[in-house]
Amino acid sequence: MNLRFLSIFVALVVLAGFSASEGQDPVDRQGVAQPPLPWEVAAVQGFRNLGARSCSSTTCHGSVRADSTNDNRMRRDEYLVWLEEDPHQRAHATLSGEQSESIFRNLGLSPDDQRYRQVMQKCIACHGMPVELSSTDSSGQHMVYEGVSCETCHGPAEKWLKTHYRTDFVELTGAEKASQGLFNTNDAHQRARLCVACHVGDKEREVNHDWIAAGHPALKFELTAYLSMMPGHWKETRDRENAHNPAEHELELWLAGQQVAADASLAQLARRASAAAAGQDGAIWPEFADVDCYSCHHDLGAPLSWRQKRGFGVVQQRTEVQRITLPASEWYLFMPSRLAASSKDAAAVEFERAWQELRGKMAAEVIPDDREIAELADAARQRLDNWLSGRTSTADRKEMVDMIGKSDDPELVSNWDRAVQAYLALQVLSEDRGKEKALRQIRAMLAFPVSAGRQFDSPRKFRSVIEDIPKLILQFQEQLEGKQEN
Amino acid sequence: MRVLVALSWLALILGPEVLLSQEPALVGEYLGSSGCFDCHEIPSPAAEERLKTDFFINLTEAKNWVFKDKHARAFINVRDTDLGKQMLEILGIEKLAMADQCTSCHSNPHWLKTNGGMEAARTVYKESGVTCESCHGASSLWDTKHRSVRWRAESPETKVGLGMSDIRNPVTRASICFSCHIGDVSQNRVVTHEMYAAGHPPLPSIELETFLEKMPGHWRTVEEKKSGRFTNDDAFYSANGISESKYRRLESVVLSSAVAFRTSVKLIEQQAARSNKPGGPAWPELAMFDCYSCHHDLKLPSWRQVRANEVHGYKLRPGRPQLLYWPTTLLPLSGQELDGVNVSLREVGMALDRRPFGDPVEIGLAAGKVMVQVDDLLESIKGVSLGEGDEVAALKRLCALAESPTVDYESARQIGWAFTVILQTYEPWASDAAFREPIEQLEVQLKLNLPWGQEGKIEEQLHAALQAVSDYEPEEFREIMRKLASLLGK
Repeated sequence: MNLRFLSIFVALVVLAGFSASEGQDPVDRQGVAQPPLPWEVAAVQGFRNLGARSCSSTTCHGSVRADSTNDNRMRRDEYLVWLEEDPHQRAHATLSGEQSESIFRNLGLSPDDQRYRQVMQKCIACHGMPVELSSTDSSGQHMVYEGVSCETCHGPAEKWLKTHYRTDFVELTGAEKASQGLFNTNDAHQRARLCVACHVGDKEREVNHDWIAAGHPALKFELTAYLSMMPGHWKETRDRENAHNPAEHELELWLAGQQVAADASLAQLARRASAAAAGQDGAIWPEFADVDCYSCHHDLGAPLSWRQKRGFGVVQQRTEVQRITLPASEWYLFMPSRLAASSKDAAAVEFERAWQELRGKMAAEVIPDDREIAELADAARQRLDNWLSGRTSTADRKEMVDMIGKSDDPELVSNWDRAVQAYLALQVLSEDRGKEKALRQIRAMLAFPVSAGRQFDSPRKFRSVIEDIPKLILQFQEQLEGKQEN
Repeated sequence: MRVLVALSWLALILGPEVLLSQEPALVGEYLGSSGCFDCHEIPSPAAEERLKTDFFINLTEAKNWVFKDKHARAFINVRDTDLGKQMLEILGIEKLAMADQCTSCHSNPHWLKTNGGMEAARTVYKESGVTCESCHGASSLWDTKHRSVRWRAESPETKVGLGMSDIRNPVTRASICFSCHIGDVSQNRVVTHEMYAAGHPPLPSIELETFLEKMPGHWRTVEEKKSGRFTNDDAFYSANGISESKYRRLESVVLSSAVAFRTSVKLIEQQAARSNKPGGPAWPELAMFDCYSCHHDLKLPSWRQVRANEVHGYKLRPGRPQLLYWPTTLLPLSGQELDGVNVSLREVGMALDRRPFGDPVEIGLAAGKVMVQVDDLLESIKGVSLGEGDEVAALKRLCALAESPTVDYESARQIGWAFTVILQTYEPWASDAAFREPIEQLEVQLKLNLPWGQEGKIEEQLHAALQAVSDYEPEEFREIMRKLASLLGK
């Protein structure tokens, strides 16, 4: 549980200049606990969930129309936005859909199977408010069917339902609200922790390659991208107010998302590796979900394919290729690593070294040494925390642009995960919500193909973007710089 | 030398298991192909005259091989093409002639070693590919003898004792071809995943009768020989156990597909044994696995998910890579009981399911058990004498195999090739125009026409070939096979 090294104060210091090393927070965070996640509140403090209907009164959050004035901090139609537009609402219903049935069938599970119920509990940990896991409340049973609902994110409402609309409640600190069970989703870090628990995984929530092969979509989470796709039930002005630098609240969310997701993915790798090292029942090693999907699931281009020109695994020098292995997924680590590489901060340098060592060991053999990987993943996590938790300076867009780098760097787009993370970071920098021509073109190039009734989940023609995307990135960067000069 | 002869006899007595489990003992020495050309390239006027009454062989074998057969260019096609150069660069190989891992298949490595390696390969073009002796055996002990018309009356055992391969025996022939076309660790004939990643074209599945037909052949088939007379012909047929059977091609399809299975299981056993030795290569060698277990598009709906990771003999949980499994496809074609094979295959499956890529010790043990079963199977197939109606039964079995959920692209190809070959041997249908359209559809969907011969350029067709694998849908294949099945029913 290295998450304990993070503190709730991290949020106050998080959005730092990307190359600044000044102002390392001297506080020793060991032993400072993270606030419990909403379902943990229910379990630990015994607060009860009351269900989404308790929020849905028309005078509270169940208005049919959004309040678009600036008089009010909330929209009042939160319940309906969630009910009608938000996929989280259908999280549980999807378990009885055709695709879920097919997943169960592929896993060899039928509803009269004893194992079916156990597996279903695992699904519900993300696909329903996990009350069954955390509470003995008899009324909880039916709330599973609400999917991911109000209290899954905001916390069990038993204590705050009748207080949270009063003026004296609004004046309470985050910690005081939390003591009543209301989770602080305003804080970028806490919000990221909340999303990441399901969308990346934690101790009780995991999507492994067996599941993906059976039909579950692979998890590729990025906080700002997901928030922009989610039908928001809050006013964007709230996000600005809550940011440390209101003008750059998206940057703050982006960095928090990158940090928390990278941490969670390293933790997951460490958990899987140490379970295998300990010979735990059901441990899977190697776990392909830790590997770059498209290092294997690519079309076999031939002859003289771009991959052959690029090189394999972590080795970029063609002549050094002796053994092709399964490179670690870079989805969650590429941007933090890039950020660290462009920083002079000693802690950043250490993190980058630790990550590259882990990456190297993951790629040393097709089946890497589980014990070694567990240790290295833990070490990388520790370094990430040492580095990013100690930042105090403010955000700087230009430095972020530099971090992404100049277009002549072939490393930036040398695999699909990297290219998409770079695109998403550019999207955050966009001043026109990603509508710039260059960004739209990059997006189209990275999109998965659609063909007659078939949905692809892999970049079939990725080779074409290797040369084109860097040019477009440069074009976008020049546009940004031009604006700044004007 | 006597020791070697004795050893090879011993190997024969002990059966194919011993023959294939270690590098075949070299009987005699390699002389190179130049000597062969003296007679087998262009018949001399005297030979032309003799051929009129002696219809044994063409005497144009070498010419055919040099100008038409891809095997002749096996070496220079690597050394001199862009793809070959790229591979050598990526793999860090400076001199192709010195790279045993390449020359073991792309040349005659023994000959290269004893004849100056690189220099020879550069200058002597005739010697640098897969040469006469690569398949027919080192010729020093039989080169003189085989020029006599008495040689053809000698038994295969005598010839093998002097180093000439019994290439007329369908099992031996298949073993020789598959040692490269599937692989054999004991002869260092292994395409590794690194070679594939560096650009080596995927080894396609192989139905031997089709490949032999398209090679193009430089020999007279038994049927062709029988259309004429030659000196010692009766003695030749009797020494080689060649009967009047008209089911030779069907028999070869069935036997060679069992040998393909045997070779692939053997390769797995050998690879496991290598990895289990201290200091041996790390497990797994990815090239043993089905390429498209991993290298497939991720799409929905997907026939792979419908298949639920089931192959012939066992089923793995979703997401676990499968071993190469097209060699199992045609096993049921023999009509033999497969229970024994299937029980042992299930053990392979259990070892693979325990963890991704399985455990080499368990897999080695299980593969060893399959080997025992497949040898029994080969013996019982050999014991069957084919008769009236067997072609039709085989064609119907092929149609039934297409309905299996396990039919991937390579397996479908095996079925398509076997169907086409067997159909040709069954006269009422061989020239029946009704079959033409569905057979052509199979050829298009499965790209059954490989770039045969020297004119076909693998590199040029590779992209389209790989795309066809990605686009493959078993249901489209089954529909064509159903059309064929309905024609069989008439």
